[in-house]
Amino acid sequence: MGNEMRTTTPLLELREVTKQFVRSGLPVRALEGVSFSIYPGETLGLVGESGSGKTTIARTILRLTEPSTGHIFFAGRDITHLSQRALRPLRREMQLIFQDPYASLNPRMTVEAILAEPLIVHGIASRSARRERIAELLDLVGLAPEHARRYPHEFSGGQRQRIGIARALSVHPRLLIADEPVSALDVSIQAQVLNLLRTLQEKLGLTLLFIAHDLAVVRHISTRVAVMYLGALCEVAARDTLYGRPLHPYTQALLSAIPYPDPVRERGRRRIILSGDIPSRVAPPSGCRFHTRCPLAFARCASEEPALRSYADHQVACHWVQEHDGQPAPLLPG
Amino acid sequence: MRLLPPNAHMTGGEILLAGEALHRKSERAMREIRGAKIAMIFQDPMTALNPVLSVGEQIAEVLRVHRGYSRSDAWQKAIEALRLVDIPDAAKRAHDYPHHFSGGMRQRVLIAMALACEPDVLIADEPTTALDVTIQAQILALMQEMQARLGMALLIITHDLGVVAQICDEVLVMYGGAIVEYGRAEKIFSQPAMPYTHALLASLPRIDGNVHELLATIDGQPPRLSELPSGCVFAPRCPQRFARCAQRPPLFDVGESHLSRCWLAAASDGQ
Repeated sequence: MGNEMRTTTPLLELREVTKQFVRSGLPVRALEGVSFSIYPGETLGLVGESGSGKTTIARTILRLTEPSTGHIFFAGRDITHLSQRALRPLRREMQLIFQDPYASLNPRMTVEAILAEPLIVHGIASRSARRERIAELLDLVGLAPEHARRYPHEFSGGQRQRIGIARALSVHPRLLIADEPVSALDVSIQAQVLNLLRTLQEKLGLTLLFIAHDLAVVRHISTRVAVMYLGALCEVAARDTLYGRPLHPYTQALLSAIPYPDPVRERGRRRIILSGDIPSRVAPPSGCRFHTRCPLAFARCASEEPALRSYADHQVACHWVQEHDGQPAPLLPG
Repeated sequence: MRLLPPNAHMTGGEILLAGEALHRKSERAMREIRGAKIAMIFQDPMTALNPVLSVGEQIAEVLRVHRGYSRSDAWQKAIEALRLVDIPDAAKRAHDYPHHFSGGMRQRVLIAMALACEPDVLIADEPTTALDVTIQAQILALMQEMQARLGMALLIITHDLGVVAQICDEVLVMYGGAIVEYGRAEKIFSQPAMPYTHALLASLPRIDGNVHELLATIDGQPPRLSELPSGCVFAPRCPQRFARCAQRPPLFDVGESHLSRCWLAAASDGQ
């Protein structure tokens, strides 16, 4: 992937986006100079642990949260300072799928009303065309026409997530942002929803930002993957590059922490176990934010924040990797 | 643990701890067993800890009740227990309240409390589900180390098959309120006998799986316990169901202490 796509304009681009909140009088640095692009037709997986800023990124892209500094471009246009009114037509082009299919559907509306709402708000279809579009959407996400009359509580978690997906697709968005869309679902239902998202993405040529903490899930759906730690990007690369030859020590530790569902493989496995906790965002560590837990940290890591640099097909923010000309951090057992 | 809510009770069967029938114990006798012989840790350490007592006091309380330690001895032992689970600065942190700790540290506190009386059995109910993956790795390593050190039996309840593969010797697979498969972990993962286990393993996205194919799925939904099918509980979703599945299957022995609640296993059953 990658190179031939780079010649086109990204559908979405974040440039040096920083977000600072104030919580109980203390500044919280939620995002620190985050830059990345998503190209048309690709799925960017955004991975990180809790507090890494994944959801803040989603909210910032949709301008539900205003960035403190930096710029957001959609289809080449700077949307950072657009008025709410000017944003409205753009909201139609960027749709969000939520983590919790229980909380994101109005319990007092039928599925039909839930799916009709965005069509009415955006003035898309006449009454008769709406009915047709709703039937089409239900079919697209694997629900039956008779489901239109039912209420959210009559559905299981997996089915509710299908309704959430249908609602997001109803206005023909160009960018779909899915924030932990399967983490609230049973294992046996996760696979159904993941397959659905992948099939829809291929069928409709969607561009997808897929946010999750589960690296195995992200690998299954993404063409490119970005890893975040405490509000900053550590590493961005094409899927097979990132999983096959991770460079950043945090990416390596994250991959090494995942247990394989295979006891024979698990028995002989050596893990990188990071010491310590994820630091607080109120007082993030100086320099590289990962240095307090990094087994490779040296003096420079505590004083200087590493920039995201390009090494062949990788982007990495790590002093060790930089001083070793793009060699992978030597944490993973060979 | 005999901690079922009042609207639920055991209607049959036996629960034995080292040969003793727990289901016949009085509430008073159970109180001496809980925490001392069987201890439990929970998914959400925040709700399992008392928010208005320091963590040191909470651990010391267990030791005073079960071991009859004096206040000062119990406090010293509590600090030791916190040290054992690698809480940095244990003597100082013992004075802190649960909300002062991160999720991973709280789970360590809960483990320290559960292990303070060196129980014979530790029940861990989704102990790492609420934790991030790098913290999960720490907690699982800690549980394995504690088990090796104290020689206790561990019952871990989880939906995460990766966690099972990492720390379990034997596996019980449950579906619709029943044990549907039981065996050594290697057997369960390499040769699952019950179609449910097979389908569940096939539906997992794997870090080294084939990304060019869609995941295998299980049709339908898990059954509600109030509307279980009369035959095999998995039959409505099973790709291999046949006429006999309308009757409820017993657990069949498929060899090497590997049991499967499936009529397909009837032929290989030794009995």
